[in-house]
Amino acid sequence: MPQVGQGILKGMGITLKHLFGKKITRMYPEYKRDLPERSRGMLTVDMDRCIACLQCMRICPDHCISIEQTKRDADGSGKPKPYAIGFVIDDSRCMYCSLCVEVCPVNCIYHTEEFEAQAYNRLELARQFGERPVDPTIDPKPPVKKKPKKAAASADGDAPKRAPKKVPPKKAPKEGAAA
Amino acid sequence: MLSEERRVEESALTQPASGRLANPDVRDEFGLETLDMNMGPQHPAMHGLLRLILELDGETVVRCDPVMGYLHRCQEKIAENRMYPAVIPLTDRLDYFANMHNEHGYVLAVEDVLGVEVPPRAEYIRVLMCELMRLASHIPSVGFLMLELGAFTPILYSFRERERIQSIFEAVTGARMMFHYIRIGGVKADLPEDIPQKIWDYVETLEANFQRDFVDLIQGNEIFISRTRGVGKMTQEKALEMGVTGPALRCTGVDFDIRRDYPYSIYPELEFDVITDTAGDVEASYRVRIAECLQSIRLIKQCLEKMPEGEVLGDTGRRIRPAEGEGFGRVESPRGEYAVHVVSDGTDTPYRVHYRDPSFCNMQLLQEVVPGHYLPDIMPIMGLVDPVSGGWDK
Repeated sequence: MPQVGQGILKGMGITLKHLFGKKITRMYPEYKRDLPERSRGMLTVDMDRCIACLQCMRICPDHCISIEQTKRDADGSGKPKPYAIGFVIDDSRCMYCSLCVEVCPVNCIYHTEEFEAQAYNRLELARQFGERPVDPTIDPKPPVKKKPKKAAASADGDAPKRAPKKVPPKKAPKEGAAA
Repeated sequence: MLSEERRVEESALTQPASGRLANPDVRDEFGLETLDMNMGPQHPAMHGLLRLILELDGETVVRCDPVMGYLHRCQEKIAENRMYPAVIPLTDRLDYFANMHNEHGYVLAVEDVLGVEVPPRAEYIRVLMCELMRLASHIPSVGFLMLELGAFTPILYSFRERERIQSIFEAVTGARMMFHYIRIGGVKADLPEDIPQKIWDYVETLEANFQRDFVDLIQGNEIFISRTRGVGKMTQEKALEMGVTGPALRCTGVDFDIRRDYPYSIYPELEFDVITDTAGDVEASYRVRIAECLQSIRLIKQCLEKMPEGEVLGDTGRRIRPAEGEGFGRVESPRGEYAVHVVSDGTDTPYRVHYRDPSFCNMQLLQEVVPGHYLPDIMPIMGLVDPVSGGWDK
């Protein structure tokens, strides 16, 4: 049995070399590294810029944004415009996909560098931004406007959309379009 | 008496796996009984949440049934109720050691049904990110294999490298694991200005230290050799029969790689070798993974050299609503063939999304390969398959 133990000794030599090298670990809570520019942390909203277009609420896959919309003449032009009187971001649901940030037309919702979201209670993670608090536990339902009536003809309405899925997909959209 | 018992046992074990169990005569004759044992789902050495129902004859396994489903999240059903772009962050959560490949596979399938043009720079960035992801998956795989054999050092070195790659990902995509970077029609954003140089520097240092930290440290080690050589041996025919893909297939000698045989993206323009080994055991799978890491480094360097300038996101329109039809995308993930099948019915949401995950499909190898081995050999064999919990349960 020649050279038994040589491989182990060689490996131990390598670990010994690393022992005297530079340390690669850091003490996290005391030391915090700089985050890169694109880092996606907790969301926040600049309410002065928000135009209450509800696009972020619609696109959010996890329903973590709820907005309560009213009409108010905020800029004094004499014409009431949509105004977000209540705005809540529920961090217990958010998955940091940044779809809402990309869709926002005025860039008022954005990621911060904060990532340590912890609380004793789930409701503490829901951060309110508006004047009036919104219940974050209810799934937001965007207000239905004229659109669905028009869209129903083009296979986008609620009733004809799900029905064709039962039949083979080949024929389905045609029936939906006819309805 | 004892030696006689052992001889009969061994003769029973040389039969095919299905025959070993249904051989009650041997046991009845000597009054031997097998022992049923559950390994997992919560087991310190187990890969994720997997339960193995084992039938033991002494310390030899005669039957091994994997039970899956402890991490099932209905990913395919959820995808049916979401719009096409909103499924991409979900695919990150499938095989959480190969997130980029998951995104890439899904996006290829949707682009297939949508028929969108992808800018060349986006393709290069995709391949660059995927190869970095392969490094970040293969290196810890080796570390996990060694951890299961009782060596703690390699996992620390491999996670050091993984953390560095994740830092690159964070600078490019904004997240360390759940990237949401590859989009339908391209990628989310161009690389930051300093990143190509950073990747190049990192890859150079990795290449310089690779031999020392992952080859010399492990390859000649006597314990490693005695625990892995000849363990989990699998023939080419059996591997092909079971539909195994990835390093587990290539270590048996089958020359099959999606990147070369069913080329996607810009792989035809790049030079790389498909690594094979002939032994078909755990040690061979380790050698294949190590050699594939070096090939990935080669691909990354080529991508950085050849990368053209230009747009990174093609025009998909405001709403992604493909015509009715089917799309299929397959990529070579670190564990094997990852494929996505998307069926569209002309609405905003997919009619059906199906993921073929290599972790799930390679798992049936356990039933054939494990019987006949000793109980402690299960863990090195799991290192050969290298399944990921999020992948097999979806």
